Amino acid sequence: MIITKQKDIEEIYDMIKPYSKILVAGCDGCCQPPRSINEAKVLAQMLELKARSEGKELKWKAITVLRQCDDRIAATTLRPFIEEYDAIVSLACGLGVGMLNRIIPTILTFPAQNSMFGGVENNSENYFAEYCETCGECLLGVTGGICPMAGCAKNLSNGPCGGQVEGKCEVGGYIHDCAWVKIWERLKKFNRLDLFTNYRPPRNYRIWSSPRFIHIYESSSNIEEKKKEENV
Amino acid sequence: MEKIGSVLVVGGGIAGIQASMDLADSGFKVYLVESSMSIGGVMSQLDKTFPTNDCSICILAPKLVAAGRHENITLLINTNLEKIDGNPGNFTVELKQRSLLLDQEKCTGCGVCAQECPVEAIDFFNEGLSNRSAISVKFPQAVPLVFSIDQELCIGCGFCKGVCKAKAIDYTLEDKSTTLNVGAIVLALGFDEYDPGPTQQYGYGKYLNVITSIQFERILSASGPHSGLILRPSDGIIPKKVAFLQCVGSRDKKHGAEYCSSVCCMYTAKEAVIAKEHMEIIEPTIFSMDVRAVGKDFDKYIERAQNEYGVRYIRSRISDIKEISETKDLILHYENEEGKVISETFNLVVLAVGALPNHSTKALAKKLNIELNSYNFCKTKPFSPVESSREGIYVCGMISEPKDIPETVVEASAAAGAVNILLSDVRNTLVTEKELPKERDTIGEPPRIGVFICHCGINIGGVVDVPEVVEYANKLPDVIHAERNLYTCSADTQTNIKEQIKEHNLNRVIVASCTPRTHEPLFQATIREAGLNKYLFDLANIRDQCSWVHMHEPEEATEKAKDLVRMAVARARKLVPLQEQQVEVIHKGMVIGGGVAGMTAALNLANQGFEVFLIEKSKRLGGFSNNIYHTLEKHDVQELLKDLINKVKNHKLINIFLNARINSIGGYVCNFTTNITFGGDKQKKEFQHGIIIVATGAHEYQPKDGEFLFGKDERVILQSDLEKILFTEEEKIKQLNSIVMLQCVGSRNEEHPYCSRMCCSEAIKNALKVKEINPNLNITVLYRDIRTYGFKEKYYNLAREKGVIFIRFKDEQPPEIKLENGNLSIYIKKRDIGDIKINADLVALSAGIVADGEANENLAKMLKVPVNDDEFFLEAHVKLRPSDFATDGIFLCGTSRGTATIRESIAQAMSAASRATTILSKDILKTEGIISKVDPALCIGCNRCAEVCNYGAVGVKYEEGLMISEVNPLLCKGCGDCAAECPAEAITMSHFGRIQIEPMIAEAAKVTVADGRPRIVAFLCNWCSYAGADLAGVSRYQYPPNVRTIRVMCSGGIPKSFILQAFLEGADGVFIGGCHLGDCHYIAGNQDTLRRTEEIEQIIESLGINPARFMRKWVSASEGKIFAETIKEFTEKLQKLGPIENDYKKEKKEIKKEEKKEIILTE
Amino acid sequence: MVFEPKILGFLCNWCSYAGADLAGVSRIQYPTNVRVIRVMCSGRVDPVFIAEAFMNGIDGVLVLGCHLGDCHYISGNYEAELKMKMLGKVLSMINFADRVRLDWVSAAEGNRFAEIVTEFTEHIRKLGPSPIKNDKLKKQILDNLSATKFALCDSRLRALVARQRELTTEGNVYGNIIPIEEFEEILDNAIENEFIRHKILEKIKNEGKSVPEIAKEIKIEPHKVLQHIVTLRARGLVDVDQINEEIPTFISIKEV
Repeated sequence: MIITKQKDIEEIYDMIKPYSKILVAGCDGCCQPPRSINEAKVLAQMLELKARSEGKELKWKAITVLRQCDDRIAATTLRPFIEEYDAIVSLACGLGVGMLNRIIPTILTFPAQNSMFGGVENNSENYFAEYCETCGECLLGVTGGICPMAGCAKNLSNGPCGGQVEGKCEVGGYIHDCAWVKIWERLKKFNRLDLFTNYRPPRNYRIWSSPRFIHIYESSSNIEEKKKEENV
Repeated sequence: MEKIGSVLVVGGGIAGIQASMDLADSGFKVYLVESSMSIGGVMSQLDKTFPTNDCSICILAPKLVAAGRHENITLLINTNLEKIDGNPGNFTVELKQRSLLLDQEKCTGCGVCAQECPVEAIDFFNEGLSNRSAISVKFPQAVPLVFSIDQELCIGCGFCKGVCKAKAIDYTLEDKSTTLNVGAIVLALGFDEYDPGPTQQYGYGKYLNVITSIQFERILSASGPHSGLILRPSDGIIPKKVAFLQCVGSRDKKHGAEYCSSVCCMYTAKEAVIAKEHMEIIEPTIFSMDVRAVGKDFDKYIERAQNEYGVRYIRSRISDIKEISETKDLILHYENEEGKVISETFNLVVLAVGALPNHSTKALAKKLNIELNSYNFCKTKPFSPVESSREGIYVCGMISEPKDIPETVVEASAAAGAVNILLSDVRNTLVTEKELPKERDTIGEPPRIGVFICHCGINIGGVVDVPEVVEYANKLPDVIHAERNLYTCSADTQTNIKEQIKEHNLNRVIVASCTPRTHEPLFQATIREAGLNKYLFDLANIRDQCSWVHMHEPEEATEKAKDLVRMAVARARKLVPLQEQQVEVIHKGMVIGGGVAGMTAALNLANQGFEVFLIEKSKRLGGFSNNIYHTLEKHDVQELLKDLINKVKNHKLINIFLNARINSIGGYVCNFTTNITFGGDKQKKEFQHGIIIVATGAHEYQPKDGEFLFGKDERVILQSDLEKILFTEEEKIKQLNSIVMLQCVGSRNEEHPYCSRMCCSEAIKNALKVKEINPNLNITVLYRDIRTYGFKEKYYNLAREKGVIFIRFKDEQPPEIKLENGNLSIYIKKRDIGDIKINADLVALSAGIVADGEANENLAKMLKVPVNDDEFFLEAHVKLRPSDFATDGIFLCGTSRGTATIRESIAQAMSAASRATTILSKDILKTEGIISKVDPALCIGCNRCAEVCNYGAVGVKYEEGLMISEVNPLLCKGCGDCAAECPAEAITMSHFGRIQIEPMIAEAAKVTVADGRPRIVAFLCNWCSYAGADLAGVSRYQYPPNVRTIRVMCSGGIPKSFILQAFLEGADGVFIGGCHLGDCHYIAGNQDTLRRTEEIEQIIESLGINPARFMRKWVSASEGKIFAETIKEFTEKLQKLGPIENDYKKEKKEIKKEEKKEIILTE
Repeated sequence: MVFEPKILGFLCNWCSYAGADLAGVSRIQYPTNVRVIRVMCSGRVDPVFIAEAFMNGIDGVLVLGCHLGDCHYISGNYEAELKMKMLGKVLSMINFADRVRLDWVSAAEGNRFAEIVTEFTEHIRKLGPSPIKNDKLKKQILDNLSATKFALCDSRLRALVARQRELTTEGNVYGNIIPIEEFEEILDNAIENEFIRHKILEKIKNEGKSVPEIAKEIKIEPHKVLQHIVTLRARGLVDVDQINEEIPTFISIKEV
């Protein structure tokens, strides 16, 4: 899930200040906490109150989109409304905001959220934790399912470093768990410490640099060739 | 003789109400006879209840209303039982109703008569601390809400008749005799408080500042004489040092009674805690002999009272009190732990008075020919605590022994359970279901609204200009007809409403009168009789929350009444018909646990003709009782067990599964499916059943190896081992010289911080038996508190008479057992008399009762029910639903709920069975009409709804393909919390949903109020705050008329958007009132209110709106005064802030300034 | 200087006023101190009038009506008698009872009228001026009179007085006649209570006071003051002002 955090109301308002009719679009997709129609409505109400405090009138409509990052769904949901509005405020992650800007070329879409990271909700403790950094070179198979990219402040492939004390990481002042200690414990539990002691080669940071795109329908031979090219 | 399917319940306290409700719900006609003017009993006088500090009236009032309007219950107030004839199953009873001097049917409870009555009298409900009139109602929430004339005080001036617009008063009405035929009789007479007055014990009646605990209870109450301020009677000053004296009239052969009243220790602790909560400066001190905190979580409460609230406990019985005549302070002398005599001055002394048998018990027993015990309480059968000596007459509550509220409720249900068996053949023969016309299909019709505005005599009409409101209502959109009535609730107006519906083809009805909490059901029934769905009704509360609270501002009140009517119209236009769902009930039950409790419950159900599956995990039935031979009262347990097992085994409707394990439990109330393996993993079986009773029991604590030399020395044994020796190897005892018993082994410590309830009695039982076998043997009992509650106290006295020595040790200094030269020596530290050493031939450890943690937790997970910190199962409500789980259709009893004696377990088992019968006796179970609904097209499957639902009624069904949330209409209670939480607005709360409330908010915020008065939109929860606002009305506490109230079922059902909408629509302030945290009618809905409103506070602050424009306050049903004061305060605060536009302008100005600055800089 | 009392006379139209006229016609001389207000019946004289008269500095009040049995309105003068009795009870609590007199003068009794006026004037002269003229006492007396006035306004009290004759002579709604002593006891209690309550209200009109403070000021036991405060709070006339440590102060509620 994409973990998002709502921007300061001032910041959102500043973005839409020049407009008087806005469409507030929630997203039923993967962003957490859910940013569906009710959240859109509350944001719209907040913006109206904010506008009023600045002595302005603001007209709004709150809607929600099943998936803002899906061009067809987003387009069919939004298009019937856009003519009446000057701007869109999206409650989706950055993907949604980008997508709306692309498929609705006539007006601007502004983000209401800061997209934080790919993470999951820890239900019992009520927080969201980062689980994956979409690095493009998955190591989870040899780390007992714990991601050292997301979990290690130094992105080490062969940890832990000397900076951990009793399983806590020095970065940030011994608050966060050291991913590598957790990896050790987990592999030990399954009696797979062999995986831990194996050397993991340095990562290929080239494939982690933006902009990235992947042709998912490319034939496998093509991919093989590309790999060779990259290795050269 | 033919049996009769009706029951007479005598006594309308909580016991009588519970018994009546259970019986009426199980298909019997109930006549509830109450000698006073209203049901509710002593509980209605209480401020809070222990150990949860629940507001007493908040939890009781819904029960009163439910009993009052139950179609199978006839309330007979001011009535006594005169004569009885006949046999079990068919009694003829003669009742006499003392004349009220007014017509109960006509009285609307408006209270004008009481205001005009010139005679002042003492208010007994407030224990003489305030005044009332000669014509009065017992308390504002009384059911039925009928006034009556006190014939002793009335001077017959005739004023009340003159002012009564309902023409209810008739001085010529005479006492009325009625003869009824009933199948059984349940006695629930309750108790009288001990009156220390006649002997002036502790100077009561002589010294002004010596009061009784029940008086103090009224002083604490927000609706009491001092509106919750604690003032001492002599001079109206808050007493700093308050002394509570325990055991006044209890455990005292000279004054009062020999037995222990069981409840005083706890209620005193509660009063001390609440006093401290009310006023920080109060320093409570409790003087007690033993602290008898024997119930579930009671010890923790005492612990908290001491540690958190600083309540001081001193172990001493005060012999007398002296008053200082100038200050009216009181001097107490006592001996402290070191043996030093200390004299201390207190500002107020509260006497914790004990319970005496009800003054009418003796006479009634004579009339009914039932036996009483030596204390004049009702005698009951040894192992059937609800059966009196005469068949067909059952007892419950304090009539048989002093006990607390949960035990009383348990017994009430148990008495109903006993009646269930006696009358099961004639169930449903006397209950009548009303024939109703077919419901008209109104779907698709445009709204056609009828508005009926009530004068309520002069109650509304005297303040509000009713004709003007009618004229106004007529102009509102979709209003077809508006009219005014003198009393809209009177019978002729009901007929008129039906006629108007027909004549104008109305499809919505609004009544503008009093509170929906009491009158909505009446009007709903009326429109249903006219063929409309009952949910097409709305009530505008223009009396309790308008005319009564704005008596001096008639114009403003009229404006408010108009607004309230307009709001109701806005809502009514969006009302939709709702249907109660109907589910077929499988008439079978499952009982988990084959101990005494489980077998009793199974037998009770089977004897009523329901098939039962009895699941026992071990190889034999009987459970823990297999180790018990006699009870303290010398009743043979083994005999009982043999008899019970025989009956269970031979009953053709009981299927016993021994050595069984539950694999899975699926389904919900009415239709569970359970899969078990039994007979040592060999056989499997799956069966369906309608209810579940949990009776898994508990076991004896096993001391750790070496704890008090247990397991190291064979002379250190458990109390149960000693019992076995006493009953099977008597000879052994004859050879011993000295036995020491050590109490509280494995109880009341850090690991098990609760009292095991029966160990004290067990020790005394065994001590007495030892003395019987070998009178010369020395027995010493080492204890912390001797907790022989109720009549068990007699045996404690007996043991001391027989020479058993009791030595107390301090909690933090337990005795030490040492092995010296092969002898057992016990050392006890005593600060007052020095250290003691005792040699013993045998040491018996009184091991406590512990829950089977793992098993309970596993079962709890399967049933989706909670366990408490001590791993006992947690009931739905500690006070009033002790036999139910919060999840419908699952019940609990015996030691799985908490420690209990055999007798208590039996009562609980019968209670659980009775509760289960309320479901099993029906063919079809009807669900609530007001529930949440999910629109599958909108649901995004986030499962937030399941996180907030306290009933497990809603959530995403992962196993069924589409991940879409679903509401179980059987479990949903209709709080609306899930709808408020749903980010996708996929969940709609019916009747109080967005479509109904949003138009109301729009209307509420748009109102015009007098100059300078802020517009406030208030959301109040139905159960506490709305009731509190009503009480402000009944008590005529005035507050500013600029509040527009929107009633919701639970404050947790208010989404953030409602509050923002209110501000957007122009409200100057928004108020949310909910139950106190922990008191929520829906378990914990207000926790979500707290979370959401905290967010709202941040949001509006970020928008530049002053956060003081939003207010959240917990208001209980007894806090009418506090509600009025809060609104006053909020209004004043908002007045200072000015209209909301001020906040907007302010922002603008600041920005302009900044802009100017920038310009200067750039220049 | 000789004290010349100011006396107010309420004279019924049919007997006493005519009697006074007769005194005039007959040139019977009497002191000049009395100022007369004509009323249709002595029963019309509301005790509140008299309290107000005293508040305005009148030294004595005379209420004159037809002889019992001769009332032009059948029983108006009986009612006047009961009202004055009630008034007398309240006034005796503040030492003013002596300054009011109810008497009967028929249209034929010009002489009697003059005699009564002369005698009453002398009586008041002897009593001296109304204590309200004493600057030291003025505030206290005014407070007392004001409390008297409001107590007399109490609807319950007036209701009791209004029914007194009926209940003690003809019987109540149950057909029972209430013994006069019993009724008077109830009435006395009610009068005393109302008077004290209004006295308390006067004391806490402008500033909050604690129960012991009020008790000291009006010289009544504190526990009784508290009882009255409870009643007044229930009627919505008094509220808690503030709580200083352990001492709560109470203040009367001004109309919203």
